[in-house]
Amino acid sequence: MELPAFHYHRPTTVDDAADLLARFGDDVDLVAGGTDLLPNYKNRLNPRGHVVSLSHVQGLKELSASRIGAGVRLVDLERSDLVRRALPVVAETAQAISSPPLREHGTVGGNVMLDTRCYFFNQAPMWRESRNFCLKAEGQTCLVVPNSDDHCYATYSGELAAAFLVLDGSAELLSAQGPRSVPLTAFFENEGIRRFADRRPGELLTAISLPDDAPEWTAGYQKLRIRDSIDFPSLGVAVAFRLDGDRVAGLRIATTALASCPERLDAVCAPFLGRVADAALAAELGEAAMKASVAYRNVPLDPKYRRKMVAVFVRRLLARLDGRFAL
Amino acid sequence: MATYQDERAFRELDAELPEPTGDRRPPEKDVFNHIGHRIPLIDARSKVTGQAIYTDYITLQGQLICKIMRSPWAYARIDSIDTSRALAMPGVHAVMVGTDAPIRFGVLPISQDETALAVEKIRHLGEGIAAVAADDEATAIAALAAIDVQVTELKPFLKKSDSVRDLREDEEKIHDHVRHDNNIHKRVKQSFGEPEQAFAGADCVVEGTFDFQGITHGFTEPIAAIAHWTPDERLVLWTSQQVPHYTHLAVSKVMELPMHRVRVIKPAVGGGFGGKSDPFPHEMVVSWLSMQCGRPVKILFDREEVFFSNHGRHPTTTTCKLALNADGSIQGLDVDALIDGGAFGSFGVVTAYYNGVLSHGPYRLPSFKYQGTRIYSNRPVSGAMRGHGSVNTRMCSEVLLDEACEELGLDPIQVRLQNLLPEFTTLINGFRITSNGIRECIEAVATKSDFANKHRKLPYGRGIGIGCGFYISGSALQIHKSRLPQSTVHLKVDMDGGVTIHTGASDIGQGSDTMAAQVVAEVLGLPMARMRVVAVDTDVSPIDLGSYSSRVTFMNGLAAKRAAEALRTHLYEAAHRISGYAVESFEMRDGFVFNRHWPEASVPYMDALEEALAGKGALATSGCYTAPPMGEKYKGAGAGLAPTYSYTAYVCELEVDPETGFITPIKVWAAHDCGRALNPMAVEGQIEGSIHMGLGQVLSEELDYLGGNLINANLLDYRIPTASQMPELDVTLVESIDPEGPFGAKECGEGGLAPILPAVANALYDAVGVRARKLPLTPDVVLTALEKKARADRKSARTG
Repeated sequence: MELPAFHYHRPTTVDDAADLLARFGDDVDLVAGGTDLLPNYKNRLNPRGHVVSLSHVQGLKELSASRIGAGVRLVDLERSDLVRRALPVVAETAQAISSPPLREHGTVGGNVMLDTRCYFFNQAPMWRESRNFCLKAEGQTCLVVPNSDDHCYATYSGELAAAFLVLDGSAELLSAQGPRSVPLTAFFENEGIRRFADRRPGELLTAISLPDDAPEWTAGYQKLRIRDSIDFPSLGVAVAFRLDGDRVAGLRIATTALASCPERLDAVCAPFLGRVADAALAAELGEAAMKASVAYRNVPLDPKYRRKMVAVFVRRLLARLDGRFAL
Repeated sequence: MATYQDERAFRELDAELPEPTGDRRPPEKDVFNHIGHRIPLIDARSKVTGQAIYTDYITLQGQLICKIMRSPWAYARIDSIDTSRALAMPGVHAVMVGTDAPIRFGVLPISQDETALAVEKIRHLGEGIAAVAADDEATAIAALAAIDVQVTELKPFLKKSDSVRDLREDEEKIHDHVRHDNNIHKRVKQSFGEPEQAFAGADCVVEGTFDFQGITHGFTEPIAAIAHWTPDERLVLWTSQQVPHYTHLAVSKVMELPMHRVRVIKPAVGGGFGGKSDPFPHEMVVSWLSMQCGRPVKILFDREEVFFSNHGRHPTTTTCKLALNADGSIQGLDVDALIDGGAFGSFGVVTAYYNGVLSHGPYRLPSFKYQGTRIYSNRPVSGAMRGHGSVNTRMCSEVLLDEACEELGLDPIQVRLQNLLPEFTTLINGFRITSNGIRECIEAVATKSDFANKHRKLPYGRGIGIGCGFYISGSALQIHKSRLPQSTVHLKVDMDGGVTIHTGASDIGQGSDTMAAQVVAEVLGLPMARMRVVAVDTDVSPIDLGSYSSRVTFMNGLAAKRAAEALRTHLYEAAHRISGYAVESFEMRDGFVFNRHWPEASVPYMDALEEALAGKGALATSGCYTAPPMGEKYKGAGAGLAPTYSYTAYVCELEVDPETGFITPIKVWAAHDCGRALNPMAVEGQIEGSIHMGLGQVLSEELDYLGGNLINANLLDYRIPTASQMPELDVTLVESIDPEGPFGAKECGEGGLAPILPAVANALYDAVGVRARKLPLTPDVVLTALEKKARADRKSARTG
């Protein structure tokens, strides 16, 4: 099937891109690699009249340990010596996304801003018509959780966000009103349609910034999927920690592909600070993370199973990253 | 091993065996120029350079684009269809509805239950309701949106159990022609030997009910067709097909045109696996639209439409019982298969038989009982898929055999070896067994994998398992009963010295064109470069029934061989006229009509050709194959009868992560008896592809339905294993040299699929002690089974 018709814009500066966003309001989408947007357009999933390409915009490809441009391709992250050395969890996460050919196209911005996914949403028009459409496109109710009171339960499937969350990153945004920085912990909203808290009209993501201490954290990412390539995550877990001697001085966990946004489990981690890093901690932390997680039946693999894997992944990640968590 | 040269061994085994009527001459030589050589497929270059011409690449002058409106309802009665608004749209040339071409068709004469578009009733979500021919795709899509369809929804049949029971008051059966007040399409009951007695008297009876989800072929090239109603009032249809001949028959029937006014052309096909082996509704649709418009009409399916077309492996629930004595001898097998055919018949009657009859090998079954029930449901139609009918039952019986060995404390390799069918024998159901290399297959994989030192000896989480199988090499019985050959090849040679091979066999990527070229080049002693294959254009090619039931190498190969032998005779006679030496003294070798007694009296090929053409014109010869009569006379005796059978044994070693349930196949040792490997590279490719496809069914592939909706109608969510998931493969080709096959060859395209399923399942048990009862074995399914086992173990520890 061909793409629906739309006006295509190719700005060369960030400001021009922001102007275009402001001008077309709700009737515009951004495209960079196109690996997520274009399949959705083919399925007529909320296509807009205007599409603004970021491929020719200057200044989106910055890459340092403290700033990663939205236009950086996933393949550049996974291959960058700097990233592999200073932010290995970012390289590791990038490498887990989709498949090598798509990582040649997909970008950091595209993955962070990835639209939510759902069995009832990512379908051909005829299929969706057969179920009277869903809340996220053309319909009146959520088909995952009926009577959801206008809440969409589509699942966020971006993965880099989990890595950036455990490194305490922020979204660098730009609009006609100027730039601003929002911590990723406050950036997302757990609702499949809105997806972002306090998203301002005409605003675009230019980069992810990371605090100076990011390279000091030991961090890793593990992805759950049936095939070890191509598949979106059915769960993604990132952990980061700092040890003071053999005690936990800093601890962060982020999950993705469970809810409508990536989530950082700070409340889960708090009680473990100051404790000795050992296998018992890893196991308890995993259980606690699992208990704090909720999953819905709208992406591959049984929700109960996906929750159970939160515990396993947290425990295994810690053990892999530091042998003391295995003892 | 006894071969056909060893007639005495053959006779002693079974004096009652009918005389095989194939090529029973010993081969002229055992050293070949092309046969047995690793030859790249002759169309490989055009494919890897992107130059092969697939159906969608063909663009005709004035071509229109067709789109089909697909039903969002699983089951509904059509009240009205208003196409007037669509017809009035600029750029729309014709709109079609079901009543425009209501004649029923189907691949089997006994299941003519499909129509071009839904007539009166819609039977599955995704079925075509109306179709449009327009200037371009966008116009066609807009026109579909302007068609107004009013329906009354009916209560759909979506569970197998609902289709077998009698109808309730608020229900309407899916097809009126179904005999009883239910949705049972076909019921097969068979019994051989004395199964009741065998089960009652056996030392060990194992039983299990297995649940198989439907799976689909996942071929790369989407379905496509172009129809052109030409100015001379003939219908030309280019179509991505495995069975152009059945399409030819069906289009002729539905369009009410005599066959000679229909021409079917098969361009390059990007895979089929059984999913392009029926005449299809869209072929009728573009034909009708082209006849309406007088212009070519093309259709290319979206991937979702390919999934709705389906015709994949039947969702199946099979209860299987196996009886063994304490010495390991198999006493009987009892199979009860309930198979969901979806909305239409397709090959389903055959499937209903195959789920049973293809269990008769590779072990001797003294008794066998089978009940097969194929039902209609409001799902996309199930049909033939690689390993047709054999795969699910094979999984059951091989897993149960493993269980029985465990229970009896016997070695699964030894038990298999002691129960094997011999060569040249007859089975209780009348199957005629000729060449049989299963023993070599099992011994090869057992030795190479070091099975004896690993089985039940690997650490927890790592396991090894075996699975065996056998498969038909062509169906001896024709779908349409007639005296016509099942395959024919014509050869033409003119003064340029090239050999044109006209074949009706459908190369769908498996390499049948290469096979025909190799066979002809071998017989004529010419290089491959002189061969050119003109395949499947019904105006030019002789009839071949198609690429299904693993019949092509055997049947088309024999036809090609015979045509080449006839051509060779002309060259021998020419050489005789030139040299004066007797015809019998010549053979074809290295570009010469070679005189084996007096090499200096040999005649160069081109000289002999000139002599042969003189006063006569181009040489044209023909060869064909018709299966000899075989089997018994009872109802259904023809199902599964084949001129010969292939045999397979696989061993799989794998790892199971007991915390996540992930299965990682580490290595597969495969051995397949293909008679003779005409082209080992192609045969290995088929075996490797079969393993890949079978791993998909056992590990990750399923058609996942939510009511009538297929949730994963795309290649992202329908999870075919990627290259990175493939284990290391070790393929052994066993050559039993079939007495009737071309140069001793038999099938290799399908039989290699089934055994990988039980090999994985048995290795899973060896690794972690859980038995597979439900496919696919996704990690959540495995983990649930592990948890259940842990609970049971705890309970028995408490009570024990």
